[in-house]
Amino acid sequence: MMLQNANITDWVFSMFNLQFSHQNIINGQGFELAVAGMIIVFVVLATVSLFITLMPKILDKINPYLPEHKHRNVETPIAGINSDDKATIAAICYVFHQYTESKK
Amino acid sequence: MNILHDFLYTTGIANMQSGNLVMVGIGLLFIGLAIRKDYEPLLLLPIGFGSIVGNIPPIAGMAVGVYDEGSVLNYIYYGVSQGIFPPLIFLGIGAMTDFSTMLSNPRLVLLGAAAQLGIFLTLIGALYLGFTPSEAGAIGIIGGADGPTAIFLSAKLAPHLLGAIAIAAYSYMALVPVIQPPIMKLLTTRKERLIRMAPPRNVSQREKIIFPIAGFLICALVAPGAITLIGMLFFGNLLKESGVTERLANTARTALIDIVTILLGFSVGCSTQAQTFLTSESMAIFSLGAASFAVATACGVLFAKFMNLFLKEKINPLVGAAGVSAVPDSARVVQMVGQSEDPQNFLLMHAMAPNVAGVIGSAVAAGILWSVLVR
Repeated sequence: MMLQNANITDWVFSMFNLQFSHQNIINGQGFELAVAGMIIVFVVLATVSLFITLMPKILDKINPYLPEHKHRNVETPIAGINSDDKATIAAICYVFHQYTESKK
Repeated sequence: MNILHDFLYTTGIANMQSGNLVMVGIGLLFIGLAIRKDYEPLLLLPIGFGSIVGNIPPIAGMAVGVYDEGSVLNYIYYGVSQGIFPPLIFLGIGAMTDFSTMLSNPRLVLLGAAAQLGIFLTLIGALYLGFTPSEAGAIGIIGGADGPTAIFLSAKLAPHLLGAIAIAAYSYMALVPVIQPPIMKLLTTRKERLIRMAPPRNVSQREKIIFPIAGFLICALVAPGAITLIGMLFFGNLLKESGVTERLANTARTALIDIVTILLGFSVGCSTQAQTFLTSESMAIFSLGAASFAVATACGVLFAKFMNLFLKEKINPLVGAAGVSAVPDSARVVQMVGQSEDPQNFLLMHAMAPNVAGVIGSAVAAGILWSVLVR
């Protein structure tokens, strides 16, 4: 089916080389594959959905014995403010502090 | 004089074929769509330029093309042909994704499953056209509307169709705002489009941490073929939600995914050499790809309407269209179509639930097809 000389006219005509047939689907077990595939996808996502529905209830039961752990605030240079921003904020705070002190 | 004649004989101009010119034109079209229309620019721009690069006729004896062993482009393409790049992109997607909306409304997960019908109907269509089962499986995954998944599966099942499948998947993903709205409007009444859904509940941090682990176990135990894609997706999400690996999550969702997107897009573009790309098979793949997107959208919308027959709190059926996993474009389209009827109706948050469920669903479908068809 592949074109040898990349001629567009040949390419369009070669479309007719495709062998359209209902028998291809049966030979390739297309229907069985489609039905089985859809059932599995539905089972997986329905199980995920069921788990999500039950999760708050399970956590409510567990909470008295295993309360939610509060994470320490892990500050990283990339996460929010970079070092340049920190320096700028420190400078602004210093100037503001000097200004308020001078007003006393 | 002979040297000059020999040199002229080896230039791209002398060896350029009509097919190469067509592909250069398509590359320019992609670049135009990316820049002028803002259609998936992060993908269409690298693919478009790659397509131009890949269609400059190579000089015989020089390893420069993507299919020439030992060439630089061949080494970059290795990440595509061996299915290395797609899982890395899934890692980044996982680190970007907030599953809160899905966790707050689990019934919307089923819409993500319904939209996967597009994959399996396209598989049947591809078999009908005369493709082998492995090729049909790789083509069918275009209906999942997930570029990395399509590349991953076609690299495993039908590497010779990879270029056409990747181009079809990404082109149609870019055209989601064009393909979906007419189907959504056709299959819903105005009354249905005006349905307002209850705001999602607050989800605890503990739920968000448990979900990627439990979700992976459920998906991987049922469909082990999906381990690579699903594993990376949920691992990326755990990095994000754990709260203790913010640096890693940040790298995965910014630098890493950007680097991989550049390499993947460019090398996929380079793989579209006219001599291997312009075939009747490619034409059939594009037709099937368009049909699969339309079918997947329709299945999502119709399944939402079906669910409404049993639900007290109705779902806006437009949300079903987000079951195709083109994240976040299809969710944005739902918001856009919903707001065209009622500007005060905010469907984006609700649409994100089937959207991310669709990502999981298409990865699971890919795992199933891989495990069944690779034998």
